Amino acid sequence: MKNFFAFLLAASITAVSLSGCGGSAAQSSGSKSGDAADQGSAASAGSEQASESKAGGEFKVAMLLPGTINDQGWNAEAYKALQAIESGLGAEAAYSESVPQSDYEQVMRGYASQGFNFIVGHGYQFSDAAKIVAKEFPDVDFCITNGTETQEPNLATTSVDSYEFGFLSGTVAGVLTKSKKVGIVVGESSPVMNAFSDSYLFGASYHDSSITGKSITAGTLEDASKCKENALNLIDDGADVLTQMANQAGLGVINACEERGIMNLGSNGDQAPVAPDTVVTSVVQDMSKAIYAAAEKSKNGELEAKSYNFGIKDGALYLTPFGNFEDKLTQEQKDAISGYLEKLKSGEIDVHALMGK
Amino acid sequence: MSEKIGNKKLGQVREIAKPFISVFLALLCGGIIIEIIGENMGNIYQIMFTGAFGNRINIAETLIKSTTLIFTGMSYAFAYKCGLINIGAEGQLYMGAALSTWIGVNLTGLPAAVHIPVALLAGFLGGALLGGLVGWLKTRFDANEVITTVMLNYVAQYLVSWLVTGPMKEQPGDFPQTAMTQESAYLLNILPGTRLHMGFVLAIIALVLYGVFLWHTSSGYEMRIVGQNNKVAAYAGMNVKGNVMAAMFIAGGCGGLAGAMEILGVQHRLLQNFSSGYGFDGIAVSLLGSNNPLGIFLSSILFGALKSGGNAVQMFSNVPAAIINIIQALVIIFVVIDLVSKLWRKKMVK
Repeated sequence: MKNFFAFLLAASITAVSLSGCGGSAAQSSGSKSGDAADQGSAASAGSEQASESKAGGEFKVAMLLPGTINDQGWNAEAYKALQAIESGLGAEAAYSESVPQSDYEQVMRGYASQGFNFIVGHGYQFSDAAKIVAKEFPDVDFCITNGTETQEPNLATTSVDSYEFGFLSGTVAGVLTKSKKVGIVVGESSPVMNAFSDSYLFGASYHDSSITGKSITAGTLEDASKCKENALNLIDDGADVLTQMANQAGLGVINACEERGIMNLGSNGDQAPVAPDTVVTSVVQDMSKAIYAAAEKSKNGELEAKSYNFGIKDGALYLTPFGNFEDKLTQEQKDAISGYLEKLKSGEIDVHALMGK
Repeated sequence: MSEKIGNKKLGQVREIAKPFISVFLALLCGGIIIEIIGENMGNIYQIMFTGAFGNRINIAETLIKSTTLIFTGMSYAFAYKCGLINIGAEGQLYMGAALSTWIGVNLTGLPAAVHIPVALLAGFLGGALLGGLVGWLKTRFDANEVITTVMLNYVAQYLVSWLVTGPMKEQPGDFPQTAMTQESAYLLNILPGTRLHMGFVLAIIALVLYGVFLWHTSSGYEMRIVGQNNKVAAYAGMNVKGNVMAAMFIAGGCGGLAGAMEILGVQHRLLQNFSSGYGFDGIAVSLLGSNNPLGIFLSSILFGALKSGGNAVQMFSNVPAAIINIIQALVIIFVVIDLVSKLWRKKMVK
């Protein structure tokens, strides 16, 4: 035991001298930092290992995530996209998780200066940093998921087409309704939700101009019971197909439909498991496909500084199987729905042109 | 060696050596973990070091983080010197950030020479009011400041979430964030080509003021006496409650200034959850620096380096950033358990 302590003491003393050395080394390298010629680029945050992987003209994709890749949601979608880009586009992929707000610029700049060709900021909050860093690296493509601001020549945004999303849901509702009345509850008055709501109502009346629809903005993304109240109002008004977009508060709408025995269309993800005998099908938006599609454009040198909206054609929007409703829907109804899917996919129906948006 | 130096001197050497040894042991343990997950320790630490000090940009990034950490570290240290445990720097940072953002966004047409000080003052006040509330609860109701500061962190954080989705949301705008602050409220850049701002100089000035106040003024002396033993202080006729209030107010103000640094110097607009735990890291900075100005300065550089080096590690290797958090945690653990002095003392007794 004595020996053990003696050893530890010796180790400690060595440690003092060593860390002393480390400290002075840090200072000396700090003072001559001006000639950081080891990296060539003044903006590099890198290391030897990084420059190793710089070689070759291959496509390199980096992603900045606001959270962790295993959150089963927003960030997991992005990671799924990154894996698909790696295998599908043969790209070399890197990512940084849970990047703190104050480090957005530093991390983006680090990737850009290490020869990455396509850098994704996963969320609108990366916009400010991207605008600054994109200017410094005109040859690198930057892309913000769900952003709104673009910048020539190399800052684009990518998202799922909210109009196509709502239109698809609306036509399905139009096909299903018997009372010729459909309804929708959205959480808040945001561009995405308003577009979804407008195009939903438009889609229903596109199917049959005698169908009327009503939209209610609940003003909450958390309060499920408030959404339920709103949904019950729509049902009392005669609506027999409802949909919703209000994050978790939207579950209140499904709950109301279940209680009154009317049909519901899920949105965003597959919501059938919540109420298999109420949710006929869900319109799923797959953010990873939107990111993948943008990366593909970047690889082919086609990415422009604009806001991309990807939809059914790109696999970013699709309908889930009818599940328990497989036998309840008539063949006619199924054909009508798949007809719309086909026409949207082929571009025969152009929602934006129809709605003038 | 130990026999030649007197016991008192040895004690001093030990005090100085302690944090260095703690850091070394933490890096060693972190290195072992890195080896266990199948990476090369030397390689990773090299990436980390280059990421933190490799060139002027990286050094600037490290110092930017140190700036915020100095203020949150001081926030903890100041309260600690008066015998209070302030776990609330994170919340104070949020409040300071909110107020200085408000000034930064809404006061227009001011020259920078006026706008910056006003925005900084607002940041100070934001944190100080929250700190003052804790002081009041403590002196009036004897509410334990550990509990109140921890809980107020949540209050402040959610308050900011509400502000940026409601009253302070940018108009017109789609996202939960405030408008950008006026450029006249941007902290001036002090190293061209990097993001390093004058906040770093302000932080050093604040540290000097902190040292002068606590060790070279009578009110500072009084505050330390209250911190060491408030019954003795009361017996000696000192105003214990007043000192507690003042200490919490100033500690809160330091936390608020940390938030102002982040907004006015780095981020320029307020978003939800914009801090990456600076308030809590401040506790570690203060502990490792044993609450003295030079110590806080050095340990803020270390933690700043761990943060910016950690980003590089995540970018350029397969080691997850969580490893950096583990190393930070190890540093804290080694400081707290004070392994060094225990072992050292044993040796001396023998």
